[in-house]
Amino acid sequence: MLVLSRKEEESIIIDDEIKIKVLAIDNNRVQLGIEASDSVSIHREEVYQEIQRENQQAVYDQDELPSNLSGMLKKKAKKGQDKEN
Amino acid sequence: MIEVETTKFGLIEIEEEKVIEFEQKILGFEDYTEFTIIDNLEDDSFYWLQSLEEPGLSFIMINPLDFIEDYQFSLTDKFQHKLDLQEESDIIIYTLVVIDKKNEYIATNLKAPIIINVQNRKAGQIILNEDYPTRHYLFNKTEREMEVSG
Repeated sequence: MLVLSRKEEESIIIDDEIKIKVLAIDNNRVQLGIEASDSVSIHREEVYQEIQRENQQAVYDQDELPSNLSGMLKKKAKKGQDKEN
Repeated sequence: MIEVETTKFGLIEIEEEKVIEFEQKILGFEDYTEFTIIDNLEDDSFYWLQSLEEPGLSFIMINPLDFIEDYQFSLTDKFQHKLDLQEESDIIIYTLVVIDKKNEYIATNLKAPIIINVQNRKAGQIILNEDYPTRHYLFNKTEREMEVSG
């Protein structure tokens, strides 16, 4: 890992095209400004962790769908279709 | 035809054209590349995303457009390249579903849909820039209680 110190208003540039600027620093929070092209996806790390957790939960490990729940869902889906028609 | 061992469906045969290749892996499941989609015979709302590499690995998916109006997002150029996407009409969208029996809810992840290019069956899970929730409730107990009391 590369470690750099930066002050307010200073920047780093990654791979000639992504610019990250320190906009403001107060006690324990840094505000960053990021300039990058649309093809670069930028997310907080927590978003990745949250999606990993949801993915783990989405693994299907039961024998069958709980019928009451799937019944409810079916009705909802039909409702949605009615709206379109 | 390819024979695939699955925990849920037993030994199944699928056509080679039904193999889906994840160019951008499912987060947390980076070891798994090949999947296939199984339509549930009893139920037309759910689809199974079954791993071809791990019999016990399957996810439930829905087509979010069946449930949510105005689900819209843009794909980055990079992601489109990975899937070699040419036409918007070649895209199929699914979202993963969490069924929590204990807490009686069904939720789907709108923040990270599964995108498939039907032309070449390349797929990926993308994290959207758009502000959608990772847990969008399709059904939950609280809502049902509200419906009853309302």
